[in-house]
Amino acid sequence: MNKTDSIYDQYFNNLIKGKRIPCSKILDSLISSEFNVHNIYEDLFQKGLYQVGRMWEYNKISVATEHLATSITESLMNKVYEKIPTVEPVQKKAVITSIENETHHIGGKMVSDVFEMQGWDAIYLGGDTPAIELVDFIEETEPDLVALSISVYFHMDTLVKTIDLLNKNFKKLPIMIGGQAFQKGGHSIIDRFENTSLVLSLDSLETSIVNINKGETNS
Amino acid sequence: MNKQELINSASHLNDFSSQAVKEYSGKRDALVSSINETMLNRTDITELVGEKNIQMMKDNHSNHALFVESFMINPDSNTLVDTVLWVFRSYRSRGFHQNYWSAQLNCWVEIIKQQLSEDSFNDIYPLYKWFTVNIPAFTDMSDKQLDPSSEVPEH
Repeated sequence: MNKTDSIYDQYFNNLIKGKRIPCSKILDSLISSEFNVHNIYEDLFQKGLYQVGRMWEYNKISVATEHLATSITESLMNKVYEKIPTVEPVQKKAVITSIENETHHIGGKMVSDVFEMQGWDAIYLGGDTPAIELVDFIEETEPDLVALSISVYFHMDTLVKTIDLLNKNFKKLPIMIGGQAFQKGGHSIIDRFENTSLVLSLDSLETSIVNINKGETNS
Repeated sequence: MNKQELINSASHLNDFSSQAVKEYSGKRDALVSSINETMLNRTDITELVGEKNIQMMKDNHSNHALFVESFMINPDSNTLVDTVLWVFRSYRSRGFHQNYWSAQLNCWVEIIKQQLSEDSFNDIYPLYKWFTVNIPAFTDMSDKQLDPSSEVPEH
């Protein structure tokens, strides 16, 4: 077992027991030693929550414990956010949200933070945003890009309908799609939409944003 | 039967007419309502799903209908098998009896036959037949993974 695995195991054992303070101390030590937001988001927060999901699947934990782990993760993310250095604004705006009926929202928050780290004005709406109200919000805020998150595959049809609605109302607006739902497949669903790209990791998200900042296309 | 064989066996499930999708989608809420009502009227329902699992059963019916609709629009046999395995693990681990799956699927078939046109039913039925025929394989695979001596996989 390497050092990273050992730190993760300590973190996860505390997370699953609902012990926020030990989790927070582990995070503090990571921030002070090798602060890399991507690593912390993917190798600690995302990995931990995916494992929490699998433990629920195998009936090793209750929904209440799952919610507690999510709540702790969210509070730790706020702590990381305070440490993110301010960068020069690029005068671009992104609206980020989970799709209608999708209550999982942590992934969207991570995406929002990555946009901010690249100088974007990131407007994060949280989970379960009704598609029709998203259209109204986009009309008001006129973003350069919309990022949609979907965690549960059962909501795929809602995602397709939301993309259709956005394409109909905003013909050239780039849309980024991501989330745990695509772990089980379904990538071809996104291929048939123009101006829409599937982004499956925070690293590839950052690369896409950097390309946009350079004036290159995101898809 | 192993997972790859299940995926192969599902690869022909890819031809759903737009009319069948439209009908299923348009009547989805009514279909879910009907199956909930029919299943709840069974005298053996607590034996099938467990004392505290009625709401979870209803969630399963709603998710089932959402998934079937998505699958008809975007057939993907890998996703189908992975999702059914996830469902079996999640529900079997909480005490749903093996017989619940056949009871539920037989009920779905009857309701779809009653509420959809004959053409749409004929389009959708092969998927339900596939679900039903493969209950033993899915039960076997999920129960092996749920064996108390097995650890929860990391991936």
